[in-house]
Amino acid sequence: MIINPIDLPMASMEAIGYSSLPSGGEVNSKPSFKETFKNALAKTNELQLNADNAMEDFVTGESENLHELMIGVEEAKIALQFTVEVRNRIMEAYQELMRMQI
Amino acid sequence: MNLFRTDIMVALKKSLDATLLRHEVIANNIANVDTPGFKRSDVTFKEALKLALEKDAFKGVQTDPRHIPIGPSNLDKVEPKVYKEIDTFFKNDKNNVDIDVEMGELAKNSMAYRTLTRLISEKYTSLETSISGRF
Repeated sequence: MIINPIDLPMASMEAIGYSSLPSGGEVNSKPSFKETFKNALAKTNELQLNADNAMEDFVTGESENLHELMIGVEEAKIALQFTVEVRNRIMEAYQELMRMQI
Repeated sequence: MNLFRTDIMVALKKSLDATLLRHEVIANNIANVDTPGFKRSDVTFKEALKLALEKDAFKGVQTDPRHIPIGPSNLDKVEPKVYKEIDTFFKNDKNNVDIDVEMGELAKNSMAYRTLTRLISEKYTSLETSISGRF
């Protein structure tokens, strides 16, 4: 049986910017939350645009490939729902933090 | 910016109109399968739509409503056109309706209509999802 290492809380603290080595001069090479979120948004948008292009090809008769079209549309839809859900959870977490007594 | 008038939405709506018209035309062909001298009709739309959707098409600028339009028409001016196939005949009475071809076209058209309704409903659902943040 594999047991998770105990340093996990430390890792998550590092993730939110807390460093256990305040004097350490090392540069954090992990992508920031902002970058990650921006990339995810761009990917969602790209999927939507791809689905739109597939639709365009279908209505102009350029492609008769119905299953590719449906797969593209479904993927775009799920990506959008995923993005919306992540946004909702982030907002929930933010609100939870704001309610916290200090 | 208009939420419901993006290129793809307009194209889908126009295609639905064209598909509906095509259904009527094919039904008319089938109804006249035994009419002597009847010539079948069909609808052209996809080619005109394709031209209208082309972004880098050669296009004349109109600075006056009386100007003659040059190049493909605007997307919201694309209309399906009914044409008659007059140069063929299938039976001795000059009728050119082949019932098997018509039934096949009808099935194809029905499937296109179902797909288009599904696609446009997906577009509206994704708008709804984006606005409400729920689904």
